[in-house]
Amino acid sequence: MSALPSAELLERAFLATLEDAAFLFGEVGGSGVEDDVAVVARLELRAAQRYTLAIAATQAFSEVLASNLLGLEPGSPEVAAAAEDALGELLNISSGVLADGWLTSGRAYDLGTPTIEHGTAAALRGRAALTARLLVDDEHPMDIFLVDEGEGA
Amino acid sequence: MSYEVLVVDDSKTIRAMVKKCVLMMGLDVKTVHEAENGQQALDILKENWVDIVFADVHMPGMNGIELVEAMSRDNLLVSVPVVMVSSDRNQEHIARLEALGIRAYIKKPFRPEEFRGVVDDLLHGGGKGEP
Repeated sequence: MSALPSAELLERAFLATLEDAAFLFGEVGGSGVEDDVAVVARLELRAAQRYTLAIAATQAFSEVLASNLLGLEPGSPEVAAAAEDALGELLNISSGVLADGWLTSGRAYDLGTPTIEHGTAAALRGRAALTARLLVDDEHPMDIFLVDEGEGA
Repeated sequence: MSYEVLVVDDSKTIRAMVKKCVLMMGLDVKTVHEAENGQQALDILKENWVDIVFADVHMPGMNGIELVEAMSRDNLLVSVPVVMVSSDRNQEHIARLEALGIRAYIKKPFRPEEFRGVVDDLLHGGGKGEP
């Protein structure tokens, strides 16, 4: 079984991506996202083990993220339409940053493509081998889950 | 010279960001074509002259590596410059793409000025972007 990354590495990957890609600033902590309203982005990471990486956030945060990534006014129809896609892209980019810091020493890995779900945050929370909790811009909670799915392909 | 540009990414957010970066460079851009995966990109490339392709690595269906492989086997498309724009930092994948002839590899997240530097170098300097 591969060693999991540290919680600090997981948190740093997402905080750095939020800052570099979207000019959003966060900190570790907060109260987390309520499972029943959470928008979940998830993707598969295949290395010696298979992992699911996922983030749960609110629709409001997804729209702020889309607004900042696209440089469009919050509340516009374009931003609302891009919100879930933007959350998936945050996960995609952060996963690359995480894998780069975690799966070093030339170990091969593959990233999947992100998918968006609703109503799956509680199940992910229960299965996660590692979790992290962020608060972005002092008001938007985000939960991060790393699930160990067992042997790789 | 006016440019025909093709942006290939399954994320419409990233397609919009790349398109914005291209337009912010002040290039005379005639058309920015968009594709969600490698197969859509090939279909566009068969119907249109394109001056530069920006492509992601991981996409559903035909991915970016398969797209570059297909372009490298085509007598006309082999000369079209390809810049990969991806969150994938896997050195095996990057080395494979370099061997296939990509001209640059931009790692997400990228800043507009970094994007501009790579593309400027490619279009005006004749150089190869730093993977």
